[in-house]
Amino acid sequence: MVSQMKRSPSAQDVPDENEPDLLARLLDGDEAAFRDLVLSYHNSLVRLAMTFVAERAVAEEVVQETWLGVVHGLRDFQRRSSLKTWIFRILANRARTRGKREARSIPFSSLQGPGSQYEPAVDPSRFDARGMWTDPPRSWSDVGPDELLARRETMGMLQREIEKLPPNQRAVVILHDVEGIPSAEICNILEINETNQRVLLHRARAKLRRALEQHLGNR
Amino acid sequence: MLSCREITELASDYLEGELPLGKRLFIRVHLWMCTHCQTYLAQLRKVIELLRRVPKEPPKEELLEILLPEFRRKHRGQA
Ligand SMILES: [Zn+2]
Repeated sequence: MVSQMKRSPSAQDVPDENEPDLLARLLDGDEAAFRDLVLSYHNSLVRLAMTFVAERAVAEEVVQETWLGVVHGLRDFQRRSSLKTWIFRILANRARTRGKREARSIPFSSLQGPGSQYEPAVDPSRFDARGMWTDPPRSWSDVGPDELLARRETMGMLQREIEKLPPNQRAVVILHDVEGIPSAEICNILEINETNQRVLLHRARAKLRRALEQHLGNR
Repeated sequence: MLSCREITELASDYLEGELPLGKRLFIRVHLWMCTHCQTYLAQLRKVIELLRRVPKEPPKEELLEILLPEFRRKHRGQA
């Protein structure tokens, strides 16, 4: 029933196992390695920047500054974190500063504002008084094979739903589930504590599940 | 005994392996008996799997046109 999901390999992923090698290549001035690095993280960096600043153009500027910071700081990279975390942290620091400066910035705070209040993972009307399902979820394996679920339309919907999340939930889900960065490092990047990180991740995932359920129209 | 509703609130932490052993066991017992919650968890796992596969837009060519020469310059300057 609970199927074993395999990590789907993606050409865009720079596997962490290869990081020492990647770092060596970057320090060696390997342009192809640098290009790959930019291609793999750029999109998530822009998305993360968008959780701190309101405008896409500003987010892209911050990302460009981040990459320049990476180029110039690579030799001083201390390896106290992974390279990936280091890059996302540079971005978060810059975007945070920029966001504070901007009049129209989005307030990003760990557990205040939108995304922070309690919201049930599932509509309470779907349970009876004892909290047992009365309107249970239906298996998505009935919808079709995995590939059907991963079709472009579904992925597009998922991306739009990510964008609709409150900034703090969006930041956590991008770092954790899209980028695969460990929780402890996310706390470090976003300057939030472990509990907040878990709650934000839980709410974001619950919301995306609800959206997908609705999208698949199978309840 | 945990309710189904409680399971849905703990599901994300459960998948992360972030719960204490006692709670984990309670969840496992519930899942063993409740196919609805099994389905819920399978859906949540699917969402997480799809998130890993979110397509990435490449950056604008101009960005690489700025960054690559800078990278080259930096390396040469220190080589
Ligand atoms: Zn149940």
